[in-house]
Amino acid sequence: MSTKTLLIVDDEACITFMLASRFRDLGYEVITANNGEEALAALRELKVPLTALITDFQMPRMDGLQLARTLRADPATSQVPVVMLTARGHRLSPRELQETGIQHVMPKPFSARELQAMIQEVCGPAREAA
Amino acid sequence: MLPRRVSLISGVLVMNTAIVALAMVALWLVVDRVRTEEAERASDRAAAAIAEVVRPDLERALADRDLPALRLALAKAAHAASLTECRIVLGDNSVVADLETGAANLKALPAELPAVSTVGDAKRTFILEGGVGGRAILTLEVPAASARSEWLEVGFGGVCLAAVALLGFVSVRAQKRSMPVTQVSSALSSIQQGEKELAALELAESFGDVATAWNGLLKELASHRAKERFDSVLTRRTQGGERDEVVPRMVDALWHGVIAVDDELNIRYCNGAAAVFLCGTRDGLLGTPILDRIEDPQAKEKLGKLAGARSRGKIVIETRTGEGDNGAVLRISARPVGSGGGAVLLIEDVTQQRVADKSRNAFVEQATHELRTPLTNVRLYVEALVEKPDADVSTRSQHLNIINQEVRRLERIVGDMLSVSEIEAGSLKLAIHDVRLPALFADIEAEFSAPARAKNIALRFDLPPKLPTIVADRDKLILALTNVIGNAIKYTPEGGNVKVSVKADDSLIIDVADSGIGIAADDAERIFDRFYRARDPRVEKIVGTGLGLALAREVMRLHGGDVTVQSVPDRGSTFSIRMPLKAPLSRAA
Repeated sequence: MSTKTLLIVDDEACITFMLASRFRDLGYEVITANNGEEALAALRELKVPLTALITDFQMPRMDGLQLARTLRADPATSQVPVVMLTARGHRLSPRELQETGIQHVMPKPFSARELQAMIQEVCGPAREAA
Repeated sequence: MLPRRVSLISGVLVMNTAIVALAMVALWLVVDRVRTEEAERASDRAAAAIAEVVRPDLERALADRDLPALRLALAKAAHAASLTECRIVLGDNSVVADLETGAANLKALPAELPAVSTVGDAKRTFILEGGVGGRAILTLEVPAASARSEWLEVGFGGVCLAAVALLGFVSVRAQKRSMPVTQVSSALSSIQQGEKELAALELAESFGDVATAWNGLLKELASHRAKERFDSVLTRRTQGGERDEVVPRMVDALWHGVIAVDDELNIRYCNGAAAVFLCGTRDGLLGTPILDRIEDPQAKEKLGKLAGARSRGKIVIETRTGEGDNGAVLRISARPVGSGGGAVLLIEDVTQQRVADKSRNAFVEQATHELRTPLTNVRLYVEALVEKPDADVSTRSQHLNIINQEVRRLERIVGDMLSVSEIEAGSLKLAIHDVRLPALFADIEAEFSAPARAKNIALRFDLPPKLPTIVADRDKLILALTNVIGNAIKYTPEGGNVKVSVKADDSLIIDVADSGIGIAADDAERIFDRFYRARDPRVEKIVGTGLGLALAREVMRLHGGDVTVQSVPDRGSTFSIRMPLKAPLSRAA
């Protein structure tokens, strides 16, 4: 059995707090960050492979799109599925989606239960046989 | 005009007077001569009459050789006629009798009288026959007649008076008649000196026919001039070319660019603004293809349709010129003139409009984002509470606190947005109430402690021990304060500090000092402009509407105060929020 690890990035502390507690309750390993730069720093510290990335779109210093691109460019994380949370009515072009590996865009406000269903669909239940 | 007229009139008067004086002198001379001659003739006639009367007595005494009788008769006649001279002379010049008795030198008349050779003055001398061929000469002198000469003088004086009266009458009439002529003459010299306003030269109708005729002439001249002007403008407009002056000067003064191109789209005319927009000089642009000046290929293609009048309708393109901050967005509207007349292009600088549009769109987008974020939090925490009705008390209260905080945030955002639209519409008003400053600052402190903690910023409130209750619009004051303090936290890097110090005596002064990125001197005043955001790369990643400070300033100015800033780049900024506490508030109408 291996634990699936989620990285949740948002500059809104309330959101990361709520989502982290929810996914931890489900059995996921969760790390959080306030922006793209912090997320990359946290990834460098991470000893286990990342299962999925949930990131906000608009953040100071490094936004979600840039973070997703950076992950895509790194062979170690290039296959990590990305769920993008966005407060803007922003539609990503197919090219952007392909470049960044973003699988789903979740417009704010969203339901935590929906996000949970989406994550489980993307990377399966929290614990499964390796 | 007046002195000239006066001198003219006085000249005429002097001349007239001189002529009259000369005429009077001449008349006097003539009259004097006539009078003298008349007097002489009168005395001649008197002398002859006297001679006829005394002649018989004298001739009888001569014939009788009675010398005493002769002398007596002579004396009687002389006395009766008041003669001044009276004598009888013989042919040998001996005086027989005289008025002056001493002058007679004969004691007795000779028996034969000597012959008379000369008679002398025939008018006053008379021959007396003395019998036997003898003769004597009687000489008489009568004093001049005076009554006749007085009449002449009175007549002469009357004539003179009549002459002066006539002269006065004539000169008054002449002056009256010459007045309009004088006016016309001065009007003519005004025209010669360049007077263009013909109406100013009209004469009053009281000047009579001359004035009517003159005014008629002026009207004719005015209508002729107007026609000439119209004709020349018409000629210029229809002929065009270099001689055209008025219309191009007007077009040159336009703030929009105006260009005329021929059918090959070569520039035939361009005004000053167009030359500036196309980054060239007017001489350099003339004759060159307009398409060379357009960089955007799409705009080029659209505009190219004007060549050879392939397009009949109006074409509107928007194109960018210049680079970066100096760049401008130009809107070019073009329309063919028709029948080989090329086309006319109007160039407008719409940079400001586009910037404002962009800012407005950014604001709407930002406002959407700002609303969605607290809404997301509310939804997530409500969902959690609903899903776990049996959660423990501390979790529930934590969730409810967050929901409460986020609902407040929503309220604030909606308030901001309303204020922005009020400012946009120019109808921002204050709702004045008593505001308890201690409670107000407690609220603000509570609101910002969490975001400050999240960024590890030391947020300190330096409040005096006693804060008064003031009269203000609480919500708007909070709006101004949260915008300024929120900015300080937003633009201060992690680990920095923000200090809010408050003074309240005559004025309320709230200084918000941060250890943030600071503001460049160029931006210091412009940050208060709506939608303006400093051109600092560090700012670009920080979300903001560019409205917060504009709002804060607007609100404080409505309170009779202001928001100002002092800043050192990379060291930090201090924003001062001020409002008078005793002066009456300016309430928006």
